Amino acid sequence: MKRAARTPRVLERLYAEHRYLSALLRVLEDKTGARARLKTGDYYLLRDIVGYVRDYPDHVHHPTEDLLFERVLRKDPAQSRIVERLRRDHQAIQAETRQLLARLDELIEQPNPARAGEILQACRSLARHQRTHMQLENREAFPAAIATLSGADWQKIETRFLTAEDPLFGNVVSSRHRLLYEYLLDYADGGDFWSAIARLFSVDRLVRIGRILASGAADRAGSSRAAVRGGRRVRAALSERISSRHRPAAPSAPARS
Amino acid sequence: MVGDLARLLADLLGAAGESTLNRVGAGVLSRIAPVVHRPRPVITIPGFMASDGSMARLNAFLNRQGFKARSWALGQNRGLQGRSWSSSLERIRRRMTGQIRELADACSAPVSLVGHSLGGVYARELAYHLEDELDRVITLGAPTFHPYRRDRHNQVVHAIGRWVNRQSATEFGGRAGLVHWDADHPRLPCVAIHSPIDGFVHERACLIPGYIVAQSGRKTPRENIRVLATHAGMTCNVWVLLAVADRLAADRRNWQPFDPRVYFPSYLSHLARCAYPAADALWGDRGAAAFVRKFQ
Repeated sequence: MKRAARTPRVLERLYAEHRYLSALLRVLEDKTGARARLKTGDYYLLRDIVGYVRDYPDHVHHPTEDLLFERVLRKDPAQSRIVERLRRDHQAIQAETRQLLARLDELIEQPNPARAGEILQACRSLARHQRTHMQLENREAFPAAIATLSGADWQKIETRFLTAEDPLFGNVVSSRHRLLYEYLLDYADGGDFWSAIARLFSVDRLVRIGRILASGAADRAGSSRAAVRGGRRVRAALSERISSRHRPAAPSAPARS
Repeated sequence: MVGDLARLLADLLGAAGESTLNRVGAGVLSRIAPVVHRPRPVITIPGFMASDGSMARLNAFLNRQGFKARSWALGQNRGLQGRSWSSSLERIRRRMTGQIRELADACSAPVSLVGHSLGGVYARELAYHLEDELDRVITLGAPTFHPYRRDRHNQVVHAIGRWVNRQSATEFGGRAGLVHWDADHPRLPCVAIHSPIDGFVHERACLIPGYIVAQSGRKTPRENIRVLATHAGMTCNVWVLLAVADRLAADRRNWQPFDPRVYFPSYLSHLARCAYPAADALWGDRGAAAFVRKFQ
């Protein structure tokens, strides 16, 4: 039987998606820590995170892993113990995600501070289960799959899986998840006023500003002498550049869309 | 709060300087800015608590360049007076639809909207409903309201807004927020003009996110223009006015990004770089990879 020479593309992507999910769970854990005091907007955030877990990991990532495990089991029945456990995990996590999503929706529709504690607890529990599950897959199931499956097996799984695009971490962010995406960019950036100021005056930026000013001064020293000699010529050339830039737009108004 | 009050006062002081520069440089600006040969209708929408008069300089300048610009004629923009954002916007939409259609018929051309600050938010939201009547939308320092991202807008302005409208700006738009358009909808060009020294709103909340600009197609261009201008002075700042005229004159079917250097002789190119600073180092959009690297 011919084994895959390097880590198959499907597995590379599954590993990458574990990293994405792990980072996202970090936000969930940060937001639902023991001292968390949530505002209305924070519930929208939790809802969007759990909504993404339902939309992609539960609907695409886990079914792909199930397909993978099914093939592993067919080739190597000795793996049945771990495979069965991971399948049960998938079902349990999907049910947990569905329930949490329903509870978050309910809490957003009818705010009830008394129930906030149990929602936070449920979020932490989901994050914990996801992490334990991913660690088990990374440590045991994926290496076993590499050892067991052939190139043809990987090819069959690829055709099913690689066509689905991750709506949050993929190449194109879906409009459904764009609020979460923009939040995550900001979260990674630090995002507050003072970090922006620190970046504004970073050494790198100051050096660049210095270069721009120096080149501007050199330009001015050289060009202003020429400009004095040929002021009219410069003005004429400038007006020609501007009019040529707008020439296509000038004769007719743009069509109504 | 004290820092924000200082930012607010500095912004207003800077705006006074920009107004003076506008008076001094109006003639030169009109000579270098593009001129259109067929009237193109433009409606300008003032910012929060500002009246039609605040757009007078911008309108006068655009009319000198051959556009047919006028203010929204709804008087002072008192913000969101209704019980909710959507009902308030619906009321404004009903009142503006007639104006927009009338002006479009009179000029036989679709109308462009130029909105300052909250007026820009209105322009963006109106475009969802009036896509067929409009030609393009240009916003000047118009913020977005994300439902859970914390944008550090000026707290003094925020408090005034909350007091006048009896609701917090962060509640605008509710769960969906009031964010920039998607890359492909509405099918109109959108230009966001924003400033690094804006004393009222957070610059990052005004610009179109980099990934949306990158995903936008030729038929639905999205563009950011960074200008050195105060928030209050954006409607009379000469650099902003030049950028607005350029983008209004731009051919929609052959959209080219704004290039200020064409308006400056080569010996003044450094001035263009100061007036329109590059945005690469600030609020860089490095994609989700940066987030994953940091938190995995």
